[in-house]
Amino acid sequence: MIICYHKSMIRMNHLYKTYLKTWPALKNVNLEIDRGEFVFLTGPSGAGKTTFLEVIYLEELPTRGELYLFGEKISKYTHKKRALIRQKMGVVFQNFKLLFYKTAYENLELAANVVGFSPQKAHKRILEVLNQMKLSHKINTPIYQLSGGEQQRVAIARALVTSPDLILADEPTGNLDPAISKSIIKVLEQINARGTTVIMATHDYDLVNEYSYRKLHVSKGKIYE
Amino acid sequence: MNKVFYLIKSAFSNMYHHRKVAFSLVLSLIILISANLFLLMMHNNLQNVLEVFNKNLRIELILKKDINNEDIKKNINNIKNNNLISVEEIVVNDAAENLKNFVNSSEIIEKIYPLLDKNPLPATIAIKINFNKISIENIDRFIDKIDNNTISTIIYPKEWFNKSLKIAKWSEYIAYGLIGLFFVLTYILWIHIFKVSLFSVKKEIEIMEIVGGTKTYIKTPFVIETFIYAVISFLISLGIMKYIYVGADKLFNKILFLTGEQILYAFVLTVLITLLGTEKAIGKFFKK
Repeated sequence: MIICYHKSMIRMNHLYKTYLKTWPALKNVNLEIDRGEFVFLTGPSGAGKTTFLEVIYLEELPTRGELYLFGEKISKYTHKKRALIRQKMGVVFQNFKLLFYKTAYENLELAANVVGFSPQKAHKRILEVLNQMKLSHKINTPIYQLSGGEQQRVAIARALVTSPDLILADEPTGNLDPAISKSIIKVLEQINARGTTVIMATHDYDLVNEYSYRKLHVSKGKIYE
Repeated sequence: MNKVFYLIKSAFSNMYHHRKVAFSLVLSLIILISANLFLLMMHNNLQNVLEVFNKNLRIELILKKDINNEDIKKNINNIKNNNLISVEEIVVNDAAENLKNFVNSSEIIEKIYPLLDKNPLPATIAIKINFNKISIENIDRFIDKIDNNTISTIIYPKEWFNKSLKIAKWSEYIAYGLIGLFFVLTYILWIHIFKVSLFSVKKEIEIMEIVGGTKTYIKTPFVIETFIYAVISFLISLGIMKYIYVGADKLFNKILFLTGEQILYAFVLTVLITLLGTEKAIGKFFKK
């Protein structure tokens, strides 16, 4: 049996994404992101950062070009295939996308059940991740009772609960004050230190400049190193 | 197994979140299912209603004078063994009986009857037919088939038979048409009402998609929820029908309820239609 190990987790060759046939959101993107990397994706609003992440988590299909995820070429896909690929990723949004009437535990339980964890395994993993996010004391608190920083930590915890290979964070610090933003990045660094690839989109250059990780700059749909 | 348990749990959780619209969901289903079951019951009793109209509608065979009992038996066997129409009742009156009936029909005849030296009336056979699934052509063929030299005249009010058959046929078409229409209405209404109820979990569906939930996984709790609503609504509707039946049976005699087969079919159809409606409604919430 030949086991093929691809070092690069994401590879894009001449990738284009055009909306409404005329408006290019991504233009001729050529890049590779390796396993275990921490990548900052910077650029002004509307530059194409979110589209870049959406193409990776298969919310959007590239208009042209090649996309490889986890060593597999992605062309057309079914809903099921997309779901299975997404189970290997964790996505964090600026607006958290949490269920506000549910508790922190229930929000994580939803993700754990989707990937088929047993109740025991799910319970153990949820406690572990909430502990890692320093949210053990908020386990049964409904999301609407948590602060912005806590909500974002729950969102990261949800992304982490399935032990994904890749974390995509779209402006996770966008709504948070500088101190909390730094704590969120610290959490993402800890996740990265355990081998998980992290791609974080942000328009906060000051924050990014404090770190020495790889930086990709998006401008008018083009990506520069 | 764990997944199944979680999906069932999610279905009940959805029901709790939908509790405000659940009442309208179940109520609209009850109204539509009851209307369907009522139409089915009406259809079952259609034959009874038509029977009232067709009470005196029959084919009358006037036999020749002086035929023997063997000939009458042969005619009866001919009628019974035909494969063209279904015979509901055969009334045979011999000559003496016909005379007795004739004499009893009026006082004047009763007075002049002793003047007769012999019975002028022949024996007769009255045939009442079952109007279910027959055609006027079959009745015509039946008349031709039973006609023989022992029969003097066949009284066959073809026009009335034709009208009655048309009424029976159209009533059946209308009943089935209405049943079909109500089922289509149930489907359309269900899609819209269920879609409204899904707006409260729209975000949940979106999040389940983001964390990698497959379509089947996301849909299953809603399918379970729909099944529960369909069962509850059907049972309540059946209860209402039973109540109506008991009341109607006291007012009119010989009212028919739904057959076991009909109940089963109506149940399967209700579940199928609501599940298809749910599938269609939830399909609109998936992005691709």
